[in-house]
Amino acid sequence: MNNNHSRRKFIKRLAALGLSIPAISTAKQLQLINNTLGAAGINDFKTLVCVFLRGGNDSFNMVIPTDPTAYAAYSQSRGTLAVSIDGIPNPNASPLLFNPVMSELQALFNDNQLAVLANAGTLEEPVTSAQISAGTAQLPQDLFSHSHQQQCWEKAAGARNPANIPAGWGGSLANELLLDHPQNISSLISIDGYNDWQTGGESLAVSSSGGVTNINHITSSQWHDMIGASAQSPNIFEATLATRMSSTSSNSEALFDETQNTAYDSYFDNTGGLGNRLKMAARLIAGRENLNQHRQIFMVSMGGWDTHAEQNAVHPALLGQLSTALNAFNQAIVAMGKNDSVTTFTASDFGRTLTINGDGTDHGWGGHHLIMGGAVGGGQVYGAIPDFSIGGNDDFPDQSGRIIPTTADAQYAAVLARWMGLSQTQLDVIFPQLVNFDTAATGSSWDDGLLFMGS
Amino acid sequence: MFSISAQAELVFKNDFETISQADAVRFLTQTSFGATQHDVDTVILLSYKGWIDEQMALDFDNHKIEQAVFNYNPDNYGLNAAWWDNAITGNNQLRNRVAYALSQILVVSAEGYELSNRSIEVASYYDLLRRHAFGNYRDLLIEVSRHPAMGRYLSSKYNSKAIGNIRPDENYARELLQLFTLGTHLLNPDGTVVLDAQDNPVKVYQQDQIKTFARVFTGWSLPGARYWLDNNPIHPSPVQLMFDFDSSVLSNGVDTYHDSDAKTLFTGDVLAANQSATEDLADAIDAVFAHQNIAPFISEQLIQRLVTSNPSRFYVSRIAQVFEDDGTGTKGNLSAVIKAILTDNEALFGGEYNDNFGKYKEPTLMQSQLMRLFHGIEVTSGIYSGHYDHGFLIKDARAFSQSPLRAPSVFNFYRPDHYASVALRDLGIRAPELQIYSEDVIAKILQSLEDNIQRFNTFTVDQLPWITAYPLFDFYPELERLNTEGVDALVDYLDLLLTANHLPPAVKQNMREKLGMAFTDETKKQAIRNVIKIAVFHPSFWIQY
Repeated sequence: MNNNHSRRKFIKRLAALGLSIPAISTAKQLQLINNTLGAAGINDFKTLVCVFLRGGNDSFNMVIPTDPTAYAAYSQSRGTLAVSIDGIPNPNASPLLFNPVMSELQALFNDNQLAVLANAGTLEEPVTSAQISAGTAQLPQDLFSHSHQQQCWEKAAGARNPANIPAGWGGSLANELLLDHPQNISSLISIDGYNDWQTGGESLAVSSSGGVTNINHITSSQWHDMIGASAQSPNIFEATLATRMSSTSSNSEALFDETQNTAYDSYFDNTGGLGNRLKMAARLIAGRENLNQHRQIFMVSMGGWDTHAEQNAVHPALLGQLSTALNAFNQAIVAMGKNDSVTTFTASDFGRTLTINGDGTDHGWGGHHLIMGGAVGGGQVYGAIPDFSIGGNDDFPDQSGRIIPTTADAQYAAVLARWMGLSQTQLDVIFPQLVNFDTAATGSSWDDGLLFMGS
Repeated sequence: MFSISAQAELVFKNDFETISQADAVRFLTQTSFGATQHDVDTVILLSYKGWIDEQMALDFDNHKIEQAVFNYNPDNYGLNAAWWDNAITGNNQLRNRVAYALSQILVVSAEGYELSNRSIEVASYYDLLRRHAFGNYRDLLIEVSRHPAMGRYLSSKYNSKAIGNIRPDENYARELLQLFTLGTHLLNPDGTVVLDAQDNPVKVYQQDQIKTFARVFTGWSLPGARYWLDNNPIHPSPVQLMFDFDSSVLSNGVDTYHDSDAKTLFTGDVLAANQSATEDLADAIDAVFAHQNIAPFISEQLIQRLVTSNPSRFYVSRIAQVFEDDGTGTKGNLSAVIKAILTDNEALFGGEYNDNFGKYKEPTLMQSQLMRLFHGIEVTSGIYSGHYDHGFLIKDARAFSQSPLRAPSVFNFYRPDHYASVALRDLGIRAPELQIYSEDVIAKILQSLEDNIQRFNTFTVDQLPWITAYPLFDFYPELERLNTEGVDALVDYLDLLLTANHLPPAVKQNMREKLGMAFTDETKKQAIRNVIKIAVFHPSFWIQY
């Protein structure tokens, strides 16, 4: 509390020097303007948490097909990496069951708190293997490359060059929401480092270890030296850094108290790095009303998923951590009574090859994903379960089990963005490729079969 | 970035004109782990080219870092400590700075599980980069491809030809092409992307070529292996390269693991059937090395690591030309490339023409600069006696998201094309290092600078024997300078060495006033701490101009 008190004093010192914290971005200015005008916002609170599995999760081993035909194809394609589960195959079971190392998530699924989206990935339009072979398909740029596919996903680029897209869809979502839900503090919070998903908006950087760093030791004259003149420097590096230094102080000021709230920490004991990051997210979710943050959009990453080697040793451990950490997070959110207004979902660079390279797998395309929370239509599998056979209908033409996605990343994202409050018009702006998944002839809509957040 | 007329002017500027002290500091910020007054004097004495020649001629130890890790402990601490010793105290400043740049292009990381208990191998890999820093990039690629640290990190060790339902691992093949040599898109000689008729980038390779390269890198075994798939062999010391298993005495001639079928790499590049793993590797590296992308792709990244985040296309083009041909018909001569990068008129004078020249200092380089300048005091007791206290450097580096040789993935700490904001993107200004300078990291750095500077003066030099846990800069030389030369001289000295004379006049005036109010040694020491804080908190310390 003392620390916070001195930080407030520090802000006052800045004010006394005639230095308000400079407006950091147009988004921030917009927030302030909206707030001043007293625009009528909606009073509810909602939080969206992206858990990005960096490196490309082999999600075909996260949830396993139960249908006898599907399982036979899966098992044949995977060879020594095939997961065997007692009771599978079973034509009467849920179409997908969790890897046994993920018992917590299987329980959440059974309890309708968790849904699975089958075989989603980066797409501009629905494509078939034959169209790809014929060269007539519009494909995302640089398929199978980590950096490019992460960017394609985070920017919902479709076939566009992600390098030319300034904003991630998380950032765009925040900016759109700001129009209807004015708040004094940005919606975007990044735990432990930069991401492309939140670019285009002002992302608040928070560390899983300690939250935000208290920098009240810097004297007002030092801040004056740093911020006052340098923010106006003709040197763009000086100006940018000075501006970031100033937002450092304002973020720290705004978030400090809530990042110190340990009320829900005990749920996260022994849940590893991801658990630590989700613990910090939980602290800020617990504090969202105090922060007057009607919409929160978190990015939480977990690395290590690029399992080219030793996959039978490495991947189950990663899945186990994911299961434990997500379950802890769910328990914490339930305990704070916010389960219906917090939705957590997974993303990843890509799925992995069904075929194996010895003791691991290489870069694929489509993959399964998880959506968790009280608002989720849980206990169900959405989307289409692909053909797992090598050289089958859903295989990329090189016949290595790089499975062509049957649901687009943009469809997945748009369902979540709609839950956060965007209209179809707004969705079409952020996800221009959505229209490619409407079928005029049959009258089907891009969201058919994907109502995992209700309609 | 540059107008044509400004560019023309640069070309005609004479680079042998008198080197100012600030010029020398700026040059040393590009070429070392931090300028000291002694270095500045040496650069002025020898000239830029003379200093580079002297640095390139220095002896160095082939296995220096590896040996140093042995001397500490073959653990994470030992690796970190050996790296910092070398950066801060090594005479081979240019070689080490280039090796550090290469370690961010040809990335292996002790952070991943693949190398988490392999400090000796990672150290040996860094020695490899040091050894080839002024050698040829082709030779470097061959040895990188055969180094066990890379073999583990990108799973090319024990990569087998297709057997049954197993096919070759694509990991090394893909990242060699995407990150170490060519990138994904066809480049012009100035580093710009070639666009097709629809304005889309032209791909350098397709998935099928990745699969072919994956077949090339089959049949390699860890050094010391007793059999195929021996993952914990008795390692020879010093560490040796991976060996061609099929051609070794271990092979029984029946079970072979290298794919010896013919392979078509790029159009027209065909590897004949029945070549050994060694032959295929050499030919494949030659094919990659002959590609038009490698010169601009590697040249631009080296410029970004050493000099500026946004080189003009003219600058990239000039360096790529040297990469292509050093003047004697040799491609990939790194000593010629490095010399050309550092003595190019844009490197020497770019800041005079362009406000946005230069780059953010990496956190690591800010740490090393302060240690070199402020005489990080040697610890004189404990098991690491006689060396810098590394504990705080290591802890800080981790908090600052940049522990050397510990990138989060093969994609390094940041991407070379990172735009930090929509505003910078609109201006076309890349700032890779800002990818790690989040508000939170900035706050941690400010906190650490405060702590590390404040801790001086808490102890006196004769109390040192029992201090092992704290970072200690030694500001007694600054006190001496203040007492003998006066306030103005000390402020000018700090401005020169910390920012190459970029502190604004008002900031320097503030520093002078603070020093001018101190009259006893004790109050002067506090004033010195305060003015150094003012200088290093200022953005101009964080930027390499």
